[in-house]
Amino acid sequence: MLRKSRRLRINIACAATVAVVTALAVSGCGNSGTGPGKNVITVAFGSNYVMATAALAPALYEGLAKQFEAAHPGVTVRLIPIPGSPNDIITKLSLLYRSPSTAPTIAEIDSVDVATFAQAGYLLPLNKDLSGASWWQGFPQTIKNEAALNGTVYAVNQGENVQALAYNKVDFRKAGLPVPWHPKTWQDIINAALAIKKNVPNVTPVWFEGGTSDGTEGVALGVGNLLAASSDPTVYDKSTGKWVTDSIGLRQTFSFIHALTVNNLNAPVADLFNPNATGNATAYMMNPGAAIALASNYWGSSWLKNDAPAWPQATQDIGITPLPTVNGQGADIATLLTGWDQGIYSRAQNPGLAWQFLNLMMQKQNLLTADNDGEWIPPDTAYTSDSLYVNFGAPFQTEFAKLEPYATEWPGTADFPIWSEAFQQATGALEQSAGTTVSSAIQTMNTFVGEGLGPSNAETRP
Amino acid sequence: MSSDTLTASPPQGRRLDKRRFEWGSSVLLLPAGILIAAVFVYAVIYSFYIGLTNLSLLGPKAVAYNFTGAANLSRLVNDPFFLHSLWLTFIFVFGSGVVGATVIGMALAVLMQKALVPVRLFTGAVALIAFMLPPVTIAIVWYAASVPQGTLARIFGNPNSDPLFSAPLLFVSLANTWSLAGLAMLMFVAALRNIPKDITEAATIERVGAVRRFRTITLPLLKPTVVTCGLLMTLLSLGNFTIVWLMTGGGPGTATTILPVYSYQQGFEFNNLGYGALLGNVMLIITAVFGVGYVLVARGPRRKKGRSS
Repeated sequence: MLRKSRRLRINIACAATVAVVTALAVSGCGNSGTGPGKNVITVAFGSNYVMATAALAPALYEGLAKQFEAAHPGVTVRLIPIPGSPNDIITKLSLLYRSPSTAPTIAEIDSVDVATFAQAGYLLPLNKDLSGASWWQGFPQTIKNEAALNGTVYAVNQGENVQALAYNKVDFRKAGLPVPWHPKTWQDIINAALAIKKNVPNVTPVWFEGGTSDGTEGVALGVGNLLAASSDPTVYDKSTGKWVTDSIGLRQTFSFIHALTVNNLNAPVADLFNPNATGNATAYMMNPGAAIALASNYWGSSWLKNDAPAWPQATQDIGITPLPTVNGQGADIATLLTGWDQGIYSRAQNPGLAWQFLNLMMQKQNLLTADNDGEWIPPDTAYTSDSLYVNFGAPFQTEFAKLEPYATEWPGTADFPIWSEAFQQATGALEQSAGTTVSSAIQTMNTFVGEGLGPSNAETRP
Repeated sequence: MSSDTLTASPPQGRRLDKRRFEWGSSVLLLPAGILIAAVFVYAVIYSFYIGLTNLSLLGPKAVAYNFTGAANLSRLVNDPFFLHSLWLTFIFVFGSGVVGATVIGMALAVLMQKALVPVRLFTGAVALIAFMLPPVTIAIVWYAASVPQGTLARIFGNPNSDPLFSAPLLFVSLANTWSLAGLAMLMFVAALRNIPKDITEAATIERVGAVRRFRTITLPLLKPTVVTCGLLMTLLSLGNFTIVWLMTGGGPGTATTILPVYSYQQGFEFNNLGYGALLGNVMLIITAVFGVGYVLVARGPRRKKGRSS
């Protein structure tokens, strides 16, 4: 009895100690901290994914910091390089923003995620500053809108990616296909791929990336472009506030991917679903070789300038043609617009300085350096014909820049990642197995959107 | 009892045969208490709270979040992907941790008893290195081995085949087994040394076959180690996010979305930090149950020993 009561006392004492200390720890954790000071601006950027090689981004931002510190004595620019994939960059940024003491004054955010950062209240409205910036006038309206939420602009685009079809002229000649090639409909793509498969058996007929391994980036640079080129590219119905899980556009997209898989035309899933597929695709086109690829504008400068193994032969062997719409409707050109933007922290202690840094980044020389390093198309159409840009990976740069006016973007709200996941799952299932039907892919859309956002937020469009 | 003890004067000072609690020792316990409270208890309480909110990583609810009561719980029980990931976790943990690592560890230990010393040393070292490698390295080794043109595809005679994506759960499980078998082997090597030689020698003299010797002598005597090892492997496999995430990212589709991966995806890919935390809490509870089981099992034999002596 005595022993029991003693043990009880020990237990109570231990519990009390832990409880008291927990209370102390909890009360101590309330301190949210302050920013780095009025004369310091912190700049966060993706250090090894965003630019073509891991050395370029730090060099670019160090150069900008030097320029800025020279022009503003007494001001320090502190860099926050963020390694990893797009998902890692966004995750790290969203965690940095949770406390004013770690939130970067200026941050590089991929354009589809800007709105969700703005919804969280992390970004400063820029309309007033932008109205006085001469360079902003050269931005096309689609790019101005890209980082805007209800008319308020929260970030400025630094460079864009658009997609088109790249095809290997050598393979096309072997297969008896016309060069230059200008497919008018999706059926033309399938027909060409079938001809390649029959006549040039040692190359992969097509590279169309889908699936979950590269997140939103993977499908935005890949099969998401098909949806943009379909009869109904709607992802989010603004009139009803619902996310589209079944539409003629989704069904056309899924049918096309299904046709690729059934006919064994697409690259092996091991390559398509590789976590670095968007980066590896440029090398894949060269070796083992793909005859047709849904390519992004960075492929050209990657072959010619930035990456090893360089592929100078690409200028002769590779042709670029716009991705046609499903039945040749409209302008018969479609692409998604993705890119990277720069935003200013809403509670920055020195918004004036931050704006001046952003302004410095947007000056012609700095912007074009960033665009070439990032293998992007400049957001300002006045620069797309500038020799500094054009000669960096000619002739591909000009071919892709022509597509910018036709580009459309995905809605970047907080709920978008759920729809995107559904789309990745559906397209991944279609690419993985010929047994996946179009209706089961639609079912996947419904299941994922229904689970993530509630079935009432899923919409079937006629 | 003799009359001497009855008449003897009561002992002076404190009794030494009973446990006592020195209040002064709580000061000495304080540093440990602070550590446990700050980095464990607080985190657990906070995570249970976050699990019942609609906190998101980004978007409007990133700052202005609120307590949503049982909303996340009702979502959890109706979430088909949660049940799916729970099932995958069970297969992964049971298959690779409990069965795979324990059986292979035991087999290695038993076989090594009879092996030549150099073979024994070499095998032991390899298994131990596999256990000591960081999970990132294990994931890369197994990824490289199981993709097309990789070692396994070449061994199977078809370099273009794709073992990893044909049987994703099998290969992440194999990677996990490979990494844990070394530890299991160590446990069994120690346990085998404690089996009295005279019993096995007597059995050998009685011309009992090796299989029967193993089944009727070695295995029953190893039973406590099998249970301890199984539980430990369960605990180590339950938290194994890295290998799966790096090898498959939870895919293709949801083929390898075990609970830690699903929790991460909900929190950091779909921005649902609240729901992701709840999934983490489920994992915490499961781990706690096995952890308590492990502590009880690990303590069991020692207690018995204390009583009998």
